[in-house]
Amino acid sequence: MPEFKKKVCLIGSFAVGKTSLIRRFVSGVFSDEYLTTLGVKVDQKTVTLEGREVLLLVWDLAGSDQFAKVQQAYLAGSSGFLFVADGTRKSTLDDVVEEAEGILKLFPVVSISFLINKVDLAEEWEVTEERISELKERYPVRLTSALTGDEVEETFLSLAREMVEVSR
Amino acid sequence: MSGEVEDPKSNVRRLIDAAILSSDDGIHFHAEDGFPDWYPSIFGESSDPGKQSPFLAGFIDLVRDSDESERKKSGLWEEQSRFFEAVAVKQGSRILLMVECADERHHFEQQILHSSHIHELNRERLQKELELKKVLLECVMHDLANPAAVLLMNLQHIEKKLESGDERSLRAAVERAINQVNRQKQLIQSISEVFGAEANEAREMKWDEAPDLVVLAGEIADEMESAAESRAVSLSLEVSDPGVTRVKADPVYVKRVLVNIVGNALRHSPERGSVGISVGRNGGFVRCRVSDQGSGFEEEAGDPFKAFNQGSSNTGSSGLGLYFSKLAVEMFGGTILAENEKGGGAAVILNLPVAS
Repeated sequence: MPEFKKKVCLIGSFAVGKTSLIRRFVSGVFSDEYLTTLGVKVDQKTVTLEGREVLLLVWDLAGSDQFAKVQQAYLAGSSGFLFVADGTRKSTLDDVVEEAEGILKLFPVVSISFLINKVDLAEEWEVTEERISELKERYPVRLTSALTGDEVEETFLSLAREMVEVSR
Repeated sequence: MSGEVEDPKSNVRRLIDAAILSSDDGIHFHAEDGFPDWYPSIFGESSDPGKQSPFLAGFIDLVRDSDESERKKSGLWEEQSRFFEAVAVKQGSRILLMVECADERHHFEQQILHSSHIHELNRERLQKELELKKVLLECVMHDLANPAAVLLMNLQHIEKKLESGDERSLRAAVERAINQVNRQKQLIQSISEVFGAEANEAREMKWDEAPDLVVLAGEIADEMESAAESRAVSLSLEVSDPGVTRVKADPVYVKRVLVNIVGNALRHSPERGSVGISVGRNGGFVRCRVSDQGSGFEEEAGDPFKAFNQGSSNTGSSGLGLYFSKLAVEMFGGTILAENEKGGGAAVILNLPVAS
């Protein structure tokens, strides 16, 4: 029986790679076929931090678009948020920062990280170094790739560690 | 007519393929009638359906904390590749919960939403391609204007010298004019190649030739010699590793990149300064470095490869040459960077993948 149980929600625009990041973390696999997520899927994974087990309940929420933002009812009870953007579509970073600012007003004491995903697509990359540096001054930021697995495991483990620290 | 009377609740459940549960303490649920076939395998047979489903557990918590008689809908969620939606009402300590299998609804709505997202992604991609084409058009107009200006100068020179009968001078001017016309012809051909194809086709372009960067750099040095002379700048080419300098790139694009970089270096060079082009191997890449003795890249001006960045000293460029160069070099899997030299001056270094 894990010592801790923590809920983590992934938030971000559609097609930024939230489902792929979760699949990479939970199952260690990647598929480049894009399929829109509708509704919610909760995946579970137990991680061990310094000999203590933490059950992560990872909530994959449908991506925001011009028609719908994330339903706040889904966020209740969260200990952590991962705000995900697609580095090849800079507008997705602007959108998720705006969405995060709204969410953090409702959940001021949570562990968070911003993920700028698809770092493997260097040729199509749009988010500038300046924008990343500016964001890093305010929030933790990681450049991830669900394709290669870059920074994916590290992100979830670091968030889990922080959530456990906060709950002590 | 049969004497059997059908249970109305069971009939409703069969019609909507839902499980109807109730709880008197808000925690322990029991079925109002039998469960649908899918229910036990997904939510188990215990009195707490939230045990098998963290989503449903969260929803029940939400209902428990909600106002009296407020109808709550969970929205769609997924369990073991099947989709569900729950509706619940609280009355005192009693909760009535209906869990409906929503595979068909999910399939229908997901298809519509997916199609809308694909359209949006395509729109964004087309917008990017359009921007790229606009930049290319600006670059091409800029590049076409230069040979036309040189051609005009030479024709004016010929007009002046016709009376003098200075055949040598006239022949030289005619030769220069022909060179510029040929250059313009080549540019027009490259324009038709670029704009004749969709931007994504251009990106996936196949190139059978593996041009030698030393040869291309030599051609550019020859072509730009007169421009260097007119500015009293010496232009030199140094080759550190000949024979292994063929690159995996389109020669037309690479020449345009070199014209932009060398032209940029000449524009920023002081009178009697020098511009050096050096070519050599750099691991799996062929490296070309173009250096000048100008004032260097200004830090405050930002990224020199950004579109329309002309710096504070406007030397007559469009601010698109280096931007286009970066786009083109990266298109072939190469890199380009700019740096200032310690003793003054600047350099642009491009690395293109070596052709196998």
